[in-house]
Amino acid sequence: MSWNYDTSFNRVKAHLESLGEIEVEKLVRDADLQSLLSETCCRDIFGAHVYVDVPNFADLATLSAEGEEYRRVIQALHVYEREVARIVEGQDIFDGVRVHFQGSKLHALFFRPIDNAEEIAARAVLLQMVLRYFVCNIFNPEFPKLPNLSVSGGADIGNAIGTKNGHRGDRELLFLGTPANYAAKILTGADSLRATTAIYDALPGSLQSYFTEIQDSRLNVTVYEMDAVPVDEMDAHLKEYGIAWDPDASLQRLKDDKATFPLNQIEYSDAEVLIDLDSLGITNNKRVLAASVFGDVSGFTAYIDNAVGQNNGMDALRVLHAIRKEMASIVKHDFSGLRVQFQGDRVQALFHLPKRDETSIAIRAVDTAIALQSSMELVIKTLLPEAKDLGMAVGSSIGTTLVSKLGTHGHRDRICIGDAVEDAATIQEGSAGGEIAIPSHIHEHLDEDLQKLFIWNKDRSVYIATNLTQDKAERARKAGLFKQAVYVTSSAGSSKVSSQQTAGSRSVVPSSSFAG
Amino acid sequence: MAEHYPNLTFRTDPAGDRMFLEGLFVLKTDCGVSTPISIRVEFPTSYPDAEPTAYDAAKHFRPSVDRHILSDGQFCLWLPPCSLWKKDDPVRLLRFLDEVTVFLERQLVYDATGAQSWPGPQYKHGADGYTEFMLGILDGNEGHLSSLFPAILGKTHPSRNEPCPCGSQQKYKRCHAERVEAIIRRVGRNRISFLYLNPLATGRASAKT
Repeated sequence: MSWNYDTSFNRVKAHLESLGEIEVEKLVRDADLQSLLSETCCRDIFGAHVYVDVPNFADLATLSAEGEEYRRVIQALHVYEREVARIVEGQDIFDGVRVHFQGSKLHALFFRPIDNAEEIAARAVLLQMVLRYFVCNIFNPEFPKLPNLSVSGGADIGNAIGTKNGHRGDRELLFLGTPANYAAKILTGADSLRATTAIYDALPGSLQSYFTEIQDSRLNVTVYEMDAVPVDEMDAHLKEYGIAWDPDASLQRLKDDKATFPLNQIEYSDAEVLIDLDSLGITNNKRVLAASVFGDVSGFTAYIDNAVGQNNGMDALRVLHAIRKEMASIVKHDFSGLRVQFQGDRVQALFHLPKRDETSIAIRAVDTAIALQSSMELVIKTLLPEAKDLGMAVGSSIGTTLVSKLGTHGHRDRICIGDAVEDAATIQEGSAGGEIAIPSHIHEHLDEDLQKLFIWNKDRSVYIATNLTQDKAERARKAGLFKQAVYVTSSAGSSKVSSQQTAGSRSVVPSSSFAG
Repeated sequence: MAEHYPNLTFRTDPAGDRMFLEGLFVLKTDCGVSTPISIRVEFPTSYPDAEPTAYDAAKHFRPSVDRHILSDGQFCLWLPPCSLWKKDDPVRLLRFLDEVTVFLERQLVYDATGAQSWPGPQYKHGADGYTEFMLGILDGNEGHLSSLFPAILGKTHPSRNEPCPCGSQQKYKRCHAERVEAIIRRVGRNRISFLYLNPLATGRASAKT
């Protein structure tokens, strides 16, 4: 299991040759984005991107005891996501686009009425309002044996390019551009609902009044945090915008789902072989020791915003699709991992084999991270010089992870949930292009030569390797090679130095070097 | 040589009296990544009696004594007394180029490990390296080096039948005479004088004498 330059090079070349003509046009009329968008049919969409997360689920998925308690967590997650999907997508309710769930984190998009900033922004914040009310007042009482769940939300508005990945049966909506990126960035992970200045400015005064301006010291920007909203006022605003959300109907659907999927029908197990994500569902879940790896194309948001501004969106998308496909190939073909999701320009991968072998799993995750860096630096930038300012930021962590497929029939999301997944994402989000960041419990499993390439960052409490590509990793492992004879092999105009004698190789005893 | 290093070409300088070998060394890893490094090999007028010298032609590496590259890009493959150059070896040039290949690989390993320590054996820099070499011939005995150093420098000339300056009470000819002669022969009187008698060379030599 390894990365190879020639394989990667030929793959990326083939990806580029197989990509058809990409078109990027402004979305000017209503459309079913799931049907419209594809790898080559892309739209510049003005809309509000909303993220709403229930951070408690990650803890519950990691720490809950085996047996009924764990099945209850699975049941709760499933029915939560089913109902939230209905609220978002229901034509009479919010009539929005459920992009996907990343674990328990919803990504939704509002773009109707076309170019109507006020109404789009209003729907975005009203969704946050409703979901907070739903979780606190409807969902939590239905699961009294679980700790009270809370929500964390972020929203931004603006133009983003919508496209789709091309894998059959596995096609995901992807949105690229500042609002899709920023809405997620402003999430705090605590009990808060936030909006950017762009959303706030687009809101009518009646909705602006619920927000308090604060300074986000982490991002160094102004954001707006939603205060508590009296339920009668929330209802009045929903009515004003024609959003017919009925709390009682939501409660009933929740009860119906719990009855349809009782605890004794919910199964979960460890995995002996590579998980088939498509076979998973509410009655078939996996709880595994796994490493999550997030690889993000750093600088891509600014790159595509700039490209679209210069009417060059198709070139940026060509770069994205080439990188994206190569990331997926590395995970799946080079390292036998699971490509869980694409989230814009980020890939989420999971490694869980060999079963319960933490060392091997950790090593495989780091090898994958190095491979992602290698393809970006050595292949992508060679074949696509326009990508020269982009980088790959990788984060990883390892721990107990719930793996499943959730949603309603026809639109289900592969999800991984657990503290290790959250940690890996957080570690990646704090990393710059060219960095691989790992916690100490992954670092300790690496061989000594590789460990030395990672430097401890005490501010972030992670080990970081910068610009670590596969050739450097191999050479780092050769540090002890030169104490005895080595062998030089020449082939096709190049030479290799190794400890292994092969046919035609020439022995060299490394001399004691000197500088006069 | 052409079979194993096809990217190298012989050239002569415009005056036609010096010969060079120029071109790319391409080092490849197991994962298939190639690193091309532009090299120049200069042949002295007394070649093959004297060995060629290799240079980092395109300054791929930042010269430093820690990585055994001089400021003009010259590779210090070995301590001169330890040269592996064998003028009568029919494949002497191929062996030399293989040494350069291994040296370049060590450079890349040095970079990959954060330039922390030179991979593989090395002598100390300057006169200290020669001192280390001499100690190697004297089995690491610093006391012997100290007591024999005047003879090495040529400041004293012990008779072969007198007691060895090392204090063993054995006759010099049966004790350290051959080793001292080997040191003088391999390092060379001129170099010894330059390193240890030249006040600009090193303070240590001055302290010893």
